[in-house]
Amino acid sequence: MRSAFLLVVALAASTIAPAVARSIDFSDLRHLVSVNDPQLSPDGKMLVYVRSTANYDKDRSQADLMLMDVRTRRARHLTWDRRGTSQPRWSPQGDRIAFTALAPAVKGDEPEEQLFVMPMNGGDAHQITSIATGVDDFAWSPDGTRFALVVPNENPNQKKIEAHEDAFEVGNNDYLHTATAMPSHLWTVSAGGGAPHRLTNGSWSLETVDPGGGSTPSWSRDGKTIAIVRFPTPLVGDALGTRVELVDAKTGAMRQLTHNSGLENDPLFAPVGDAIAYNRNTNGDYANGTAVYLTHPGAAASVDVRSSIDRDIEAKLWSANGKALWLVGPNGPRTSLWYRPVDATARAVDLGGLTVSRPGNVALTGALVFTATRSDRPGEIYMLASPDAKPVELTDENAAIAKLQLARVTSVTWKNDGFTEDGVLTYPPSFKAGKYPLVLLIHGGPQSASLEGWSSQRQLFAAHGYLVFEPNYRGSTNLGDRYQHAIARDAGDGPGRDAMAGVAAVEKLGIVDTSRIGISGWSYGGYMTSWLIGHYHIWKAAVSGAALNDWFDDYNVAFYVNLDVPFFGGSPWNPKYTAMWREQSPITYAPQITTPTLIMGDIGDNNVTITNSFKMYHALKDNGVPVQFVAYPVHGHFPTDPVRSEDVTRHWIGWLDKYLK
Amino acid sequence: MKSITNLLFGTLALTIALAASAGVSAGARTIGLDDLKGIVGVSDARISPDGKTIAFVVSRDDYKADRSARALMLYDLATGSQRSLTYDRRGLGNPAWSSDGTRIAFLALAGAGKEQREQVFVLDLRGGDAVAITTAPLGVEQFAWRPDGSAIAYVTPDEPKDKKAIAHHLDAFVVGDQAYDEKSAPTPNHIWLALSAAGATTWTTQRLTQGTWSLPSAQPPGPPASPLSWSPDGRYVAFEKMPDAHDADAWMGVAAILDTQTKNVRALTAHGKYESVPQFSPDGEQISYWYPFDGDPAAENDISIAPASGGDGTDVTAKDVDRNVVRAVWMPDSKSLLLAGHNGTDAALWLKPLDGTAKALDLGGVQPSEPFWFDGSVATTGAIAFAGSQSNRPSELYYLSSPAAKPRRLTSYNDTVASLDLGKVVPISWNSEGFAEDGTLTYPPDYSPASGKSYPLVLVVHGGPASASIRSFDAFNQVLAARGWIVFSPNYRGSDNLGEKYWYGIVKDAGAGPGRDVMAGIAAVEAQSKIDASRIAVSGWSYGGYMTSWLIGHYHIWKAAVSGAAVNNLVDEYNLGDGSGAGEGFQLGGSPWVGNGMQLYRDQSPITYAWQIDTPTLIMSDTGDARVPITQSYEMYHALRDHHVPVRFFAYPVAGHHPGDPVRRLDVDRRWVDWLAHYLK
Repeated sequence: MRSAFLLVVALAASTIAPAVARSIDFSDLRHLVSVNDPQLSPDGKMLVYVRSTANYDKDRSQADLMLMDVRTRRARHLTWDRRGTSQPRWSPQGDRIAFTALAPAVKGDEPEEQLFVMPMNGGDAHQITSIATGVDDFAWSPDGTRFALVVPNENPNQKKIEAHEDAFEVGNNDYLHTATAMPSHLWTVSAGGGAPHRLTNGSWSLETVDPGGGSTPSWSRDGKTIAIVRFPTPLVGDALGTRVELVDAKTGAMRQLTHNSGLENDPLFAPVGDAIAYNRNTNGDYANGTAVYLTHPGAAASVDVRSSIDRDIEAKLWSANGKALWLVGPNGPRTSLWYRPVDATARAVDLGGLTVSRPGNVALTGALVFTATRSDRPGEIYMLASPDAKPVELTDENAAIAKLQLARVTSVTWKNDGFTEDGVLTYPPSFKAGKYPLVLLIHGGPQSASLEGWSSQRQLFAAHGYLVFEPNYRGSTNLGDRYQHAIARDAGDGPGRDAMAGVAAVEKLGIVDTSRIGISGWSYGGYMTSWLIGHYHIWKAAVSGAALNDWFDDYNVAFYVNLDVPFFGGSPWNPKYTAMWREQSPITYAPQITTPTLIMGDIGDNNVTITNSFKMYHALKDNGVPVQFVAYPVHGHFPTDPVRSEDVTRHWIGWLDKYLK
Repeated sequence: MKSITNLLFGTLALTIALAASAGVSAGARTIGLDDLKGIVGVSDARISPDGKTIAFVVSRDDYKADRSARALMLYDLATGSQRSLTYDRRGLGNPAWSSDGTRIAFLALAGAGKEQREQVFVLDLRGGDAVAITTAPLGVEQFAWRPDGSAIAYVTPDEPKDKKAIAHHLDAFVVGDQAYDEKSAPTPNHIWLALSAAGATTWTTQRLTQGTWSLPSAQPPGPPASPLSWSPDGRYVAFEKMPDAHDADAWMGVAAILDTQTKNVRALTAHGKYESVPQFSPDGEQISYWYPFDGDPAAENDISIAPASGGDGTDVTAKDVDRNVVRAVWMPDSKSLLLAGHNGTDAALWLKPLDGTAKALDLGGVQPSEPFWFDGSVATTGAIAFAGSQSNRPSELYYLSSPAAKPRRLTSYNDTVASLDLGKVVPISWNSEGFAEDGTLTYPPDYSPASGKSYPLVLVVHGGPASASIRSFDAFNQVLAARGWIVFSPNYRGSDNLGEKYWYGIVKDAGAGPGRDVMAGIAAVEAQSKIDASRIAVSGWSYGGYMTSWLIGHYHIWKAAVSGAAVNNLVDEYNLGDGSGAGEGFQLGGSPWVGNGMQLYRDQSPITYAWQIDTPTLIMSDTGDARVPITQSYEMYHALRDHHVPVRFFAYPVAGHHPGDPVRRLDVDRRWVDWLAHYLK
């Protein structure tokens, strides 16, 4: 859930490289192509994927479906002039592709995502749904005749609301809500279109798009059951109680898959047999990483298939024969792909330096496609014919970037408080022996990790002449449950010491100009920045973006609410715990800060609310510390449009240059 | 200076401060929430220079369109007749007579849809359509006729310099002392001039001032924070000059004089801050301006007089009007001022000769409408017109032929409400910690102490805190009393009705002292009225919400509470509100981020004691409240929920410190009454 904190500055690459390699600049990043959601046809011969480019004039990204012949690697556009195209899914027979895209509003003015089906023997895509609230998610039935749909309920009070009788009762929602949150429910619709049929209803909900992102229903092979995740309410702030439910695809009758009390997610039926895999924090402790459990409907217990791996699992897929699972998770400096036979131990696949972004799907042939990056290459699509094969690069969208003079990316390890920790160190592209200013770039989450795979931001900073250090710290997801759990009840102190031990390890290399060290981060990386400038005084400049500065705001006005409680043991309003929430908030130490600081945030951020930044701004200003606070008048945890997201990076590096150059 | 406290904790005139009555008929029914729908608002009383006619604004709530319909009216004193001057104009307000009395200028919305902005209209009383004489892209905030009638100075915000970049989404902005939900940096307000050649109907406009400094902004049709004032020779304009465009920095404002010929701007005094509302005397010799008592920004507002040529001048109200003065209007002789302010449980007017002692006008129980401003005007004859109310009659238009005369009610817009069986409103006083304190009591219409019956008690605590509960018409208190409850609206230290010492008593003591004042008030009520001590509820909005949250956290006599737009956390107020920054700290002990500030802020914040609350509480707030950010209501909600105290929290998805439209306003009242009714049964 907290991975909502994760910032991916998804930028990056260009087309024409000059004869003499030069270092990377904003203009290169404007030409980056993003490839996502690769899906092999059932026979493994064709690949569909989403290709996105940024349009800086219109300030939006344009996403199109591409179809590739896997043998020839030739690709062509499948869609033309559609907005919001995403989630292409082959029909089980391989004769159609379903996808979602924006369609004109059914009610009101706002276009909504609807489901489309495109025949693969030619012809326009048919719009299958025209649902006023749109389609959040969908899944083909195994026989290809139906879809399961996730659809938000309409607000039953719409008429009253239009008459301004629009007061709404507040619950565990974030403070930017302006109406009661509506639950999403499960529907079905014929693959040929027609009236959708509601299967579930109630005040509980399937995961909603904002801020969770939605979760895809999973059909049992016989088409009789649909597995979903049931949230107690539409609000993420209530989401500790999520559980997997099995819904009768005809009657809508429901039963819980397990006897667990919550924290269940992402159920996935095996393609053969009735096994079902689902996610849950290890041992049902929310501060642990995500484990994958295997069970069967009616079974008494579940088995943790991940235990020997002890890493936070970000994604999973069944093998074609249903006898193994593919698992993906951060592992030290990279993301690993494990092959885990149901009845044997997991083994990591040799990816030759790739860092997996996301797995796509598995064809009936057993081939797996996924997106991945290298330290010197933005995302491309790769295919693995079998667990023992070598990955093959299918796309080559970002070759131009590779021709630039890129920065060298390495890993650093150090020991602190009984942990063997790591981080990523990037050298200026023109690095020669000598001393360089150092910039810390700290990841968010904290349930995330800095890895060696492509990072536009790190490359850009290094191109400005900085050593860039991205420390992982306790709470990061790349070193196992003990490390990840250690941030519970120790949000700042321990992680702060980890980062400082990392800085010491980097300084030992003898290449750091210790009079010029800057520190920066977004989200929990902003928390770490605010914390570290409040506790240590080695910094020349700081950039604290969308920083969690006050845990009270996280609990009271952001969407987390109850999700924060496991990290402290109790409510901040319980006098037993109040001091802990306060002591672990960077704002408590703000009067000790002396570092010139740039603060940034979105006005409409419901994840780390901008209230956090306002407090830090006034605290620094009132203590005479140089501070500038730049706000973006948009929704979200980070500006997602090309213009503003580039503007954030420009402000960021501009502030560092002002104080470190 | 206009007290920062007023700006920050801005009282909610929850009393839909409106209007008056005729005489109660024997079988009259009592007032209910639906009766509020028919209350007519009378405001903006502007008497013509010759004293013969009065322009004023009448507003009626339209619940279907959910807006208030406003009309500009003209009252002829000779015949007692009145007529409407405007037809279906939106956003109408601020009428102003030209000095020859032939024309009235006013603000109203012009343009279509989202491009609608307030512009200056000029209406010729010899006939003809009102003409919009300005086309300011961001609208006009306020204006003033040049004495010769051929020009109008007006104030409008600059357009952003980087308009084009903003259109391309390069709209990130540098944050200053502003509210957490604003979507841009404010641009400076500046003075422009609209000119018309003699006899011509066309007007041209030109800019008079520019720079990164600014005039304070206004929210028409409400009165401007600091009105422009012309010198009688038409050369100079006096105004408040702030160092930047952030209204939260208005405490750094100074009285400034613009020479419209050279466009030179000079400060009137050497204070450098805390000044506001400079106004030329009619003879142009002197300027009155606002400046806090003893130059202390936490103190009451006083009126100072300085020579128009410059200098600090002298505080003329410190000695004999020890009240927070909310307005000073020059009398035509330039030798005296008409002052307005709260005095006990009344809204008072004083005549203050510059060389003599101030004397309160005898208003005979009529309460001029003055939430932070006196809504009235003076003719060259010395006659006074104002909008006001009485405890048993909503707002009407009143007239005094001279300061020595008794007020005469000119209109009868609210006869219907006035004829209902209303509750009796009486002042009550008590002593607490060296203060002789007061408040108002509203009794159920059928209150009968002899019957042996005891009555539930409901507290409705005023906001501000720099305001007061007085005996003006209070529709909401009347509705509560009609339910059979005795309604107590206590004043408390920090209220602006009993002088500097009382006013200052709240400094660095935001809750504890005021809380004890209220509790002493309850004891006084119990001593004189038949109260059922097992059925006492407390409620309030804004700082009244603060008081409610504070009182339920410290005392345990309450059956129910309603805490609206409550200041629960002074740290949020300092950092997130539209008064954020240093100005917010004057009454609280500085910044929470410096020295022991945080401890001071915590000790004075109701949220710190939330875990001690056991009273069933209704919370209400607007999601877009910049004055008291809704974050504070969320905090209280979670604190109460986590302690299993019965709590419900209703939010209104609108901007503002209280819903301004009729439908939602009534919805607030209804939820408030229903919550009390549920628990006081």
